Amino acid sequence: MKKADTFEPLIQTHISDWMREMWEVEAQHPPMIGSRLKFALGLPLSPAKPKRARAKAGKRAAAKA
Amino acid sequence: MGDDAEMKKWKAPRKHSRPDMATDSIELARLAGKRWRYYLKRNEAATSMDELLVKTGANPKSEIGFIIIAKAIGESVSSTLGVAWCRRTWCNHLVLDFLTVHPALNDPAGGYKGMGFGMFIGIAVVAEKLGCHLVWGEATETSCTFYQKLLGGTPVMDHFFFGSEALAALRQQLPLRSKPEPKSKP
Repeated sequence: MKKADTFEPLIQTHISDWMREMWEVEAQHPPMIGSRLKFALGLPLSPAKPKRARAKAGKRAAAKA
Repeated sequence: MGDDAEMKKWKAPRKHSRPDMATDSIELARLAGKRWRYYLKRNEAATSMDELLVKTGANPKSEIGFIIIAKAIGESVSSTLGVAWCRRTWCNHLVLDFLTVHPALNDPAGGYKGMGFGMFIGIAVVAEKLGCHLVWGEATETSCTFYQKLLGGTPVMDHFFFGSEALAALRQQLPLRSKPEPKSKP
């Protein structure tokens, strides 16, 4: 007679009553948290600074002098 | 700890009894990833426990962010099953900004439950390694019951505080790895 295949878990664990209870709680009450207000998708992290017009080389040299 | 490459691939399963929750988990994962990349760009993130210890050791008042990822063993809907984005604050507390699980795992109608619980045990372990005595975060309307139960019934509204005792109680729930049996002599 062929011996039945046995399943051996990768890690032997001790599951406490509290852990089992928490699994049940989590099934009904998801633990997911996070704020959508900050760092929202698609929004820049801070408003872009307006670019300042660069003075011509001659004017910069004159300002230095 | 790791990066956010895998969680970008999260997709909602075709059948889900709460599609809103599936959408939430994907959105929160993306937001956590965005926060992660922002901190990484500013060199304020740690990609491993060793790096986290080095960075906090070098500057004890620095704020360092890190991401805890639950990896699957064997075949699974995704190699990444859960994600928690945390910050270690200037006074050595941990803030849990984002915690989300794969949409296939948050369906009340089926699937493995307990990923969030497991993730929080991981956070408690990191807190111990850093010498943090407090983990806090903002609870939502749907998650406050979970955190209340996790705190042994202490009422939770929009925020939670896990002190040293609560964190130690969580760490005690760590699965006990079986000791390898000694090899028998031929």
